[in-house]
Order: sequence, then structure tokens, then C-alpha cells
Amino acid sequence: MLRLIVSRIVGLVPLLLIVSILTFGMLHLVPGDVRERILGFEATPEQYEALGRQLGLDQPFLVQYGRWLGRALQGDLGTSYFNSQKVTDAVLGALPVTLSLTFGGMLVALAIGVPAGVWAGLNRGGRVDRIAMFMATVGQALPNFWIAMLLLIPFAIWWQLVPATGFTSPAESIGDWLRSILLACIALGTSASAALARQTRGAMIDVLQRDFIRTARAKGLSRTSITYKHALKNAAVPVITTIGFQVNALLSGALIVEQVFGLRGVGSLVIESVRTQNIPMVQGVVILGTLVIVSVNVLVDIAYGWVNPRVRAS
Amino acid sequence: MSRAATGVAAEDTNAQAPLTGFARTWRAFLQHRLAVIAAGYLLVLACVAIFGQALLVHDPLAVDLARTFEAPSAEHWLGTDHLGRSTLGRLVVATSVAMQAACLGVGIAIVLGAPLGLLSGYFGGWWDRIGMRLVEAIVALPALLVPIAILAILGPSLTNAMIALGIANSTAFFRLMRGAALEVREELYVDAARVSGSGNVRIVFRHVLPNVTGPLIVQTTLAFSYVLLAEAGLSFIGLGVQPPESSWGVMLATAQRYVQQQPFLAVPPGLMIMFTVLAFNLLGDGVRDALSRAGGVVRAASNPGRVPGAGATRASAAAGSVATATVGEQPASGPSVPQALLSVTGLEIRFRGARGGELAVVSDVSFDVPAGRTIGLVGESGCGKSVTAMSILGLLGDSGRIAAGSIRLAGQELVGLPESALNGIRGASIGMIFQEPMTSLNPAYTVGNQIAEVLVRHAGLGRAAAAARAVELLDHVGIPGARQRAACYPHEFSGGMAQRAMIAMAIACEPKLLIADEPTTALDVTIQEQVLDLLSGLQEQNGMSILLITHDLGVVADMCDEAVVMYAGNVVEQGRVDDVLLDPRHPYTAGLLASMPQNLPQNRPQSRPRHHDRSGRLTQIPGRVPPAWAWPAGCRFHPRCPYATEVCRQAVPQMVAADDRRIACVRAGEIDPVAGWRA
Ligand code: SF4
Repeated sequence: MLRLIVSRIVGLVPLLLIVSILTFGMLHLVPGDVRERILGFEATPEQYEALGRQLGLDQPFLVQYGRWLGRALQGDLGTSYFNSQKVTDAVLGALPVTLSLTFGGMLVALAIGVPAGVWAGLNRGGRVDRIAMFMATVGQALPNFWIAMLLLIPFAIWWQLVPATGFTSPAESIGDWLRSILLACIALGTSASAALARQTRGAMIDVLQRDFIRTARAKGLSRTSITYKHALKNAAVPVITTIGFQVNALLSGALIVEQVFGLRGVGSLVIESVRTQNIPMVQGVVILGTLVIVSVNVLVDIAYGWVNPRVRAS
Repeated sequence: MSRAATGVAAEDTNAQAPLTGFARTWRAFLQHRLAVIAAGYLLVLACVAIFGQALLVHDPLAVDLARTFEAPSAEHWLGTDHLGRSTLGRLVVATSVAMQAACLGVGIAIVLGAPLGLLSGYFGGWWDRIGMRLVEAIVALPALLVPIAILAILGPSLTNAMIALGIANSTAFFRLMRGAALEVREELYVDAARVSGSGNVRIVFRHVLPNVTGPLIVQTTLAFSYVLLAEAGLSFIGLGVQPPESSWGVMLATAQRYVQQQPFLAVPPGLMIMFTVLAFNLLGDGVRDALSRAGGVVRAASNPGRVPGAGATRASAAAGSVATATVGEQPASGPSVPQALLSVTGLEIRFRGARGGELAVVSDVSFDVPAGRTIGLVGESGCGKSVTAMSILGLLGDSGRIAAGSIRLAGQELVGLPESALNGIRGASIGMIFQEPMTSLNPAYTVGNQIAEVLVRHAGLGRAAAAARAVELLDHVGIPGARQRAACYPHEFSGGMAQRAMIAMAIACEPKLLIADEPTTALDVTIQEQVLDLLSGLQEQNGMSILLITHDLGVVADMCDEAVVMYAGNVVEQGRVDDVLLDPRHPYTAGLLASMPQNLPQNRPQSRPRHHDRSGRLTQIPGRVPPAWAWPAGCRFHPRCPYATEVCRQAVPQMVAADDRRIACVRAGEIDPVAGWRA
């Protein structure tokens, strides 16, 4: 098991290197002179030169990349173009909001999608199945930020059950934290649960046709035991592999849904940075966002090993 | 698709004239009502996008500050926004923007991804490796950050957003085309084409593109959904379409800003996105389904010949009620015949077809299994022997039922028993083992756990006691190092060991009857003998009866006291094993014997001649068992029988009993059933 984890992490190195090259390369793809954007038009040539040296622009690409990577590995992803804020600090400061939404949304998605999928799969072709799959089909077509708005209007504006804007840190008050992210998590989660329900249903139907289910029935096991012991754990195998994709989609969704609830997370940070072409900040978001996704994938692999003994052994 | 359904599909193709692939797909698509509606909706939407603005009463850009935030009215059907502009008008403009944008985004994705993927897959090598690595890296990034990062470079605007989404989405087309090209490259006919001097371009157009057209269409509809949703999202956060230009996302952003004043503003654009994305998804589903069904029919047509029921028992496992059995028709059988442990009388099993209607896959089957004896149920695959075995346990699945007859175990009628009562019998008084030991064990649990489970269920043992007993059982069936092996998972077992574990599980509760469905067919030749020896040994020790289902007459000769030969859902001959094998009276039995190497019935089959065809198909009887819907009238064997006459085509043979034998052949007695197979 430990070997599996270590080998997975080592296997990530080339991937992360490519991402880092692509991300760093962004800086050089931006048309025009970066210095102009930072200093404005009135700056003197001396100022330009000084800034160029400060940014390392006088060095060859590989040297610049090497320096940047070296600093990045120590946790320094550079400085904002427009104030002296450290990129790492800014992104890490915004991350709790976004991660709260992402993982809260994942929990909601699991809580809705998995039981719905299992139930539909067990009643394949029946009424429950048809209703659940209809809802899943519609759910996959709904933009999650629109669901968020539709939730916001009654619950936060008309009835004011939860705040319409603003994030409370869990360190301050767990209850307020939950209230501040609740609607966003539901919006993200219902949206993601549609795909999850479909996958779970498919996996369940597939597993129920396998020979070992026939064996379990020939053993006289109860339907509960067949469903929840023999089928579910095997159905979890393909479902777990898709959770990585789901978290990826949820993280992306969170960047937008944040805007509906005025939560100042990574979404606000990156939108602002794109508008002002504050490239170091965008780079920081890409790098840290990738790290989040990649870590989730490692966790998913570990969970996969748990349900699938074949992987654990090798 | 269950085999039952493929069977019916095959019937269809036989009935109709062959269609071209495209026409077949098209027909399958038209049957998909939702997909057709979706396609219609998208056509209408395209018209709105192109001509809609000409029909508008209100200029979508006309500001009227006196009439802001109006609710829907006769004049403004969908109300007005914060500048008093008509929401309907803005929606039409937005639709046009969305459609153009989606076409641009998807177009870029295809133009960028597809050719690169094609080249990468077709030529392979270093470029392919670099391409794949890049694609993997892009896929590993949070999905929305790819377009966002590209927009950071290009600056926010609709065109740039579409370029960004196109690049982000091109990876899907890259992978699709690369896969298709790789596949075709491996195919021999491309090598042949290359040798014959066809250029690469020609090969690509002739061989790669036709294969990939279907998946490409499906992927394109998915890309439309993705781009539409992403465009709305990007415009919503201000990185796509820039106001005062209109788009669904921009309109939602406006609605968000003025949600306090007029919440209705959020409804129309949201619904438009939903319906449009839904339509693309449904269209994609429809095309995918049509393609697979059109393809499925082709495959099914080339592979007919299975009793639908045989597959269906395996396929459907959700609920296993033995549906209401009409016991009235059964021949009068007196109260329990003491010496028969299991007594099957007049059994008829029906399966529901895919399009309604029922088909009897087994009819009028009767046999007894005396205590302590072994009975062989023999026949080629598709003759109904496995279905018969499954019906004893009440495991016919949702689509099958026992329509008539009686199954008595030690005097107790099993037909019509409620599921809970059957569950008390399965695994307790009747154990069962199957053909494929590896897939019959649950890969997610240890072997010991799966054996202990039966003991907990039926013998009332606690977990620890059951686990200890499981080890003893594994030891008992000859698994070395039973204690360690009990903690192993099925994939760590060899086929023979797995079958031993299955046997341990089946005999754990000391059943009176063991049903063994082709227990050695999937095993290595040298292992087969050991497993059969194990079964005989266990029978000697605990006196259980065995119902052995097999196509292998060698196994029957070796293991069984009596043989019941089945063909196409009927018993054709039954009797004591020596009689049946040495002196077959039914042409089918004689044919089966003749197809065993050097074993014509003059000399009784030697102990275990293990040269039979492992696929279960016997080589010398021409043809194979037809599927149940194609069973001929009269004697079902007549198309393959060398003795068939006009009588056989009309008269249904009745079972005739004569000195301990029962034979169902209209020409029994007047023919020498062995001679015909020598010719
Ligand atoms: S009834 Fe006719 S066709 Fe059928 S087995 Fe006998 S001889 Fe052959």
C-alpha cells in the first residue's frame, strides 16, 4: 500500500514539471511588454531597465525558468505586479473559501448522487429509475451558478435564512461558516450529483450481472447483504475513479459560484488578476489549483486500493 | 444488453433486408423520440439565432429608463432589465451570440484537436509521446483554469474566450482521434493498403475517418454542451462577452446584480441555457445509442444460437422470485417418493422476450436425483440444462419463471415457495458450484470471509467460529496452507484452487444436494481430474447427492449413476449411465458419443478421456443448438438428425419408457441410432 502511494507520488513529478513549464511559459506568451503594464507609459528608460533586471527578463528563458522553479519549490510563487503582495500568501488566503465550497459540494454530491444511483440501479427500468435518470439528465444541463441564484433568491433574499454574501471562517464560528457556504455547496453538489448518480447506477447495474452475485444468491444471502455487501463495494470501484474528475469540476464550479454569494475566494482573486493581466497571480492560482487536484487524485488512488484488493497487492 | 435481447435483435435482422450502416443508424436514431425532439429544438434555435433579430418589435439596445425592472407583460413578454431594455429582445441577441460562440469554440477544438490526434496516433513515436504528455498535463489542471489562464494571456473578450475554450476542449478530440488512428494502424488491412502503395492520406480517408465518424459526432454534441456552459460561466464572471453586448451569461450577471429589484431576470437566460444544453446532451445520447444499437445488431446477427434463458439467468439478478407457478398441470405425482431426494416433474420454464411475449426454454422435464447418487444432466450449450439447474434454486431472475411442474426436495415443494423460504434452502440444503470459479468469487472480499458468510447465515455460527470453520473447510477440500489462503483474495488463487474454495463454500452447511454446473469446463485438463476426485470423495464421506451439469460425456461416464440427455429444452433420453453410454437409443445421444474421440459406443468411454473440445461445442454433429425462438416444429433435433424423415418434421416425439430407459424419438426402435453417425 505504502509502495503504491509512493510510486503514485513519484509518477506525478513529470506531470507537475510539464504543468510548471506551461504555467511559466504564460508569462512569455503575453503580447507586449510586461514592464509597460506595471510601470505605465510615463516611466523612464532607467526604470524599465531596473524592473527588467528585477524580473530577470535579461536572462535566457531556461535560466529564468530555473530560478522561478527553485523559488516555487520553496513556496515562493512571486509577487503581484501591482502591490507588494506575495502570490503564495494571496492564494493561500483565498483557498479556504474555495476548498470549503469544493469539498462541501462533493459531500452534497455524494449524499445525493450515490443513493440515487444505487436505488435507480437496483430498480432498473422501474419508476424510481426513470425519475432519477430524468432528473440527472436535466441536472447535467443546469449551470451550477444558475442553481445558486435560484437558491439565493428565496433562501437568502426573501426569507433571509442564510446570509446572502460573505464568508465566515470556520475558526470563528462553525455554525456561521456552515451558513455562509451552505447554499453554494448545495448548488455545486446537486449539479455534480447528476453525473455521479448516472455513474453509480451504471456501475450497480454492471455489478449486479456478475457471476459472484449469482453465487451470493445461490448461498441464500439476504437481499440486503447482496446489495450492500457484495454489490456496493464492487460498484464503488468505477465510481471512485470518477471522483477525481468530480472534484476537478467542482473546483472549477466553485470559482464561479463564489461570485453569486460574494465569497472572496480564489475565483475573485483569479478574475481580478485576469482582468489586470496580473500574470504571477494567475500562475500561482494555476499551480496551487493543480496541486489540489493532484493531491485529491492521490487520495482517490488510495481509496481505490482499499476497495480493489488487486491494486493493493501490486 | 442481455443475451435475451440480442437474441431478439438477431431475429430482427434475419427478417429484414440488410441495411447499410448509415441507414440502420438513422432508423435507430429516429426511434429515439427525445433525441429527435432535441434535434428539432436545436434547428428552431438556429433559426432564431439567424433570423430572430429581424422579427423583434423592440430594439434590444433601446434604453428606456422610465420602464426598468418590469415584470412580464403583454408588451414586454419577458419584462425589462435595469435599463428598461426588453428581456426578450436581449435573449434573442444572446441566443445568436451563444450559437456563434459555441460554433466557434467547438470548431477550434475540432480543427486543433482532431488532426493533431490523428497524426499523433497514426505516426506514433516521439511526437505522440510529447502530445500525450501535454494532453495529460492539461487534463490534470482544474478544468476552468485552462481557459482562464489562456484569457489571462489574450485578455478577456468573447473571441478570446472561445479560443480559450476551443484549446481547452481540443484535448477530447485529440484523444478520440488518436485512439481511432492507433486502432486502425494496428489493423492488418492498413498494412496491406500500405504495401499496395496507398498513400497515407488515402489510408486516413479510407480507413480511419469512416470508423470514427460516429464517436466524433457524439463528442461534438458533448463539446457544444461544454462550450455553452463554460461560455455562460465565463461571461457571468466577466471574462467572456463584455457588456453592452448580450449573452446568456452576461444576462445572468445582470440578473445577479439586480437580484433584489427583479429576481425574474434570472429565469429566462437560465432556462435557455438549460434547454439548449439538455438538447445537445439528448442528441448526443440518441446518436450514441443509435450507433451502438446499429452496431449491436450486426454483432448479434453474426452470433446467434443461445437459449435466451441461459444468459438471462445470469443477466438479471435483482430479484429472484419464482413467479406464480401453475402447479395444476403437473402429472399426478404421489406424496413424496422416499428414495428420491430431488424430484423434478413436468418442469416448464418460460422467459419473457425483450418485446413482450414469453418463450418456453425448457418444457416437460422430469427426473429424480436419489439420495447419495450422482445424476448427469447432459447436452450441448444452449439445450436448457443450466436453466433447469438454476430453476431448482429459484434463481431464474426477473425475466424467467417456472410456468408448470414441480420440484420437490425431500418431499418439500420448492416451486412457489416465498423468497425468504428459498433463501433458507439455498446454500443450506442445496449447495451450488459454477463453471467459472474465478468470476464466481467476489473479488473484493477474502475467500475465507466468503466461506464464513454462509456459515453465519445458515449454521448460526459467530464470526470467529465461522472464520475458524472456513479454514477447516479449505483444508478439507485440499487447499495447502489453508490458514494463510483463507486471508487471500480470489485473484491470488489459481482456477483449480478457486474451484476448490467454491466447493468448500458449497458444502459448508453439509447440503443434501450439490448442484455442479460445468464444474471443470473452465479448468486446466490436469486440474479437472483432481476436482472430480474431490467431489466423489466428498460424496463418499457425507452421502450427498450431486446433480452434475456437463456437456462432457467423459465426465458423465466417470461420475454419474444416471444420465439425463437434454436437447433444445427437452429431455430426449434418460437412463442408467452404462445403458445410455453403451447403448444409446436416441440419435442425439449417439451423436454426442460419436463426437468423442475414439469412443464409439461399442467400447464404453474410457475413464476420463480428456480430449474433448473445451469450448463445449461438439464437432461432429453438424450445426449447433438453435436459439429458443428458432426451435423447429416436430422433433426439435430434426434439422441435425441423419435419420430425420417427414414424420419427424411434424410429430412431436413423446417420451416412451422401456426397460429403465426413457427415449423421445418417433423413430425409436426402427433405426440403429449409432450407424448413421459413422457415415
Ligand atoms: S424423431 Fe426423427 S429427427 Fe428426431 S431424433 Fe428421432 S429420428 Fe431424429
